[in-house]
Amino acid sequence: VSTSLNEQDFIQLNAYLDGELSTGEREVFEARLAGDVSLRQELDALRVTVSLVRMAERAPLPRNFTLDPAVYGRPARRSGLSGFWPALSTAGAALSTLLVVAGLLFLRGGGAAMAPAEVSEALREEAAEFEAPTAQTFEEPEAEMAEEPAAAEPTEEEAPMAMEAAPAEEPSAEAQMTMQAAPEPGYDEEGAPPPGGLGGGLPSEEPAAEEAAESAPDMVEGEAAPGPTPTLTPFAAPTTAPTVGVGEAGDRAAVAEAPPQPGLAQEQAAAAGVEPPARPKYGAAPLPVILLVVGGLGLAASLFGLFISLRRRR
Amino acid sequence: MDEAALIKAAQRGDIDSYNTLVLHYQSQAYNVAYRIMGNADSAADATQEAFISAYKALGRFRGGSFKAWLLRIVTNACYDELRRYKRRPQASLDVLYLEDPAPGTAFTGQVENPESHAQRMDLQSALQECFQGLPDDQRMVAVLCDVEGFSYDEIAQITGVALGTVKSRLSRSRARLRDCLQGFEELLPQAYRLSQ
Repeated sequence: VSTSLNEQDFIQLNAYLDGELSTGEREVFEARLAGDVSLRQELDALRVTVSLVRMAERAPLPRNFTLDPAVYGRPARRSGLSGFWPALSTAGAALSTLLVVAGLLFLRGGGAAMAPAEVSEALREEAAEFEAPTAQTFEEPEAEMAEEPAAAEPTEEEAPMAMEAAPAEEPSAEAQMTMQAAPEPGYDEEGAPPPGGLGGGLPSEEPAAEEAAESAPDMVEGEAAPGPTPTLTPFAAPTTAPTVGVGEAGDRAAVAEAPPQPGLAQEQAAAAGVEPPARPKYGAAPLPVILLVVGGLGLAASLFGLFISLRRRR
Repeated sequence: MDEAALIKAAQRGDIDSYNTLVLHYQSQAYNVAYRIMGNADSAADATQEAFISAYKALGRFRGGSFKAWLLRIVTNACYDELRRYKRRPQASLDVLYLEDPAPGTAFTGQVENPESHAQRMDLQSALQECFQGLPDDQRMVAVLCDVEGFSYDEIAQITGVALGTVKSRLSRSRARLRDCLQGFEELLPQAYRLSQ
């Protein structure tokens, strides 16, 4: 039997020749092949063609196609730690950013806590009122110290003790009068300022100022009042000066326990026309600065490390 | 050769491992390119380009047959080279082929009588001419199947076409080759004459 072949027959012939038919397909095709002469002739012709094509020789290589290590080579990763460095760098960057943010927050938050607007304003007014006595308090002790240094000069260790002892001692008569004349609204027992601020508790009349001017030298001379001498810590001394100068003995302890006011010290000194004492080089203020500097350096180093890691990976 | 280990090392940037793979596959890659391109220079260019591309793309190799993956890059490089050639033809591929030294003679190292050498050269010329007469897609399948001996599945993987397409392209290419080779019948050995 001879039949005309279609494209599917030729595809099957090729698949049969290449061994790409399944067992079932091959059996069916071989059965058909046995009874079809033209199919057998086509298979023979195809076999010869494939044999000829497979005689194509392999071309010799003109050269090697290896890549030049100098151009394409890059150092292989040495260990599993190589992936660790970018992660470490990223963590360092995050930590440094936190340090910077903490420093900024410390600067902003700390400033607000130390010098709230109301307190600052009240104390500024107070400082203006007692400008003259304050000036005296800066000058007089020095003069007295020159005369009798042993009696008048409280050391840094003595000063806090003296300030604590002050409320226990009896206030002078003038001070008591002042307290009776203006009993309200001062500091409460815990030393907390009244809701209206410090200004509300401080007398603004001239007599009180005069009394304060008089009482200040007394306290410096004989009593245990801290005395706003420059030998005290620069932050504490100016702060206590006007408060003590008011002559309110009961208020001394409360004011003495109040936190130092660095900004106020300068304002008071400026108001008094006195050169404020020099700030210590390493006080409380440098902490946020140190945080900012260390954080900034760490951030820069981490980002640089990250950049190098990414560049190497590329 | 531990191919998997070499591939992993090459993926980490070890160029020596990659060059070991190149040395192993360069002959097959070049011969595929040579049959597709039809001349030695273009084939060498396409092969080198393919190995460079493969190295750059090695990070995207996700297992399977590395040979099939590599030869797919080779065939793509050949297609690119052919397109470039068709845009700016500089010389006939056939002429270039005829100018090439006959393949297989340089490294045989055997003394061959002149008549036998001439017959072999004629057959190689005829085969190459018939290959070049095929459409690109059919030539690709014929080279991969009959010259390189890949299975249908591997060819489908390399060329990126369906298995049925591979079968039909192969059937058509062999039919064309048969017709072409009949034109060189007087050059063929007696046993291989198609119209006996």
